[in-house]
Amino acid sequence: MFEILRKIWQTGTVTKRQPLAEAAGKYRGKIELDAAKCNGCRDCVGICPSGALSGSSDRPQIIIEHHKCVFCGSCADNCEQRAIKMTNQCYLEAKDKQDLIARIEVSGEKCG
Amino acid sequence: MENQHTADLELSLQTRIKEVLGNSLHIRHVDAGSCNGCDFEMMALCNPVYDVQRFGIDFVASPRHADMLLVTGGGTRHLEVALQKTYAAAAAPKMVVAIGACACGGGVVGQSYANTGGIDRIVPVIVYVPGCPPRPSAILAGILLALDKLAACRAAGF
Repeated sequence: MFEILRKIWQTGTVTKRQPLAEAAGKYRGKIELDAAKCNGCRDCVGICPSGALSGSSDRPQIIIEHHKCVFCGSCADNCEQRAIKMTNQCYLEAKDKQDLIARIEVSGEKCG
Repeated sequence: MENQHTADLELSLQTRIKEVLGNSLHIRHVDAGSCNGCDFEMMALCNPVYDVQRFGIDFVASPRHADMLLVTGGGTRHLEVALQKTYAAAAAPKMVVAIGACACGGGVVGQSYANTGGIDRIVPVIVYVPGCPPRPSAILAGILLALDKLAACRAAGF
């Protein structure tokens, strides 16, 4: 009994004063594509398990649909150019689905 | 005509309820075929760390008591009807927030014979909260965005 009370006393308050704080640095959040580094090989499109990434062979463009992304990090792991990075951004809420779709024009050396 | 009138009434109610709600929001969680990841994160909102009840947000047991429905999962074929019925039973303004990648756009389950691939194909959604699963703080941000209070909360240092 006394032990429990001592533990409660030692723990103190755990409730976060700022619930909307930034996520930890290692958190796998929103993916970010560096258009300057990307050569349009579309390895990320092939590896994506949820079809969040798409691109066609006739346009040097990668489309990222953040509302489909499951934040597995496979695209970032498999990108040979290191063009895709996982940021720790976790606040992606939106009222319109179109805000969550990013169309990124890339250099497209390997496109086609 | 009748439907248009109902829609107008709902819209005006929605704006009014945001004025009136202030610090009282009742939420009903609807599981439309999720893997329980989002549900755990949602229930984590009630734990001592996040403790949303201090903001007046409460989870209730019936959609008839709820101002907002938090829908998780991609809407499987069997739960499609259940979701429609829950939406019909919910009190106006019927705010629906889609939680997680499955509810927002199908996620890793996608669209198939058994899965609708997004809640917005069944019921109208006002806020999408992507993530697999989203953090409790991200769910809270989505709830605040649905109430148009997010900007004010961020300005206040939350």
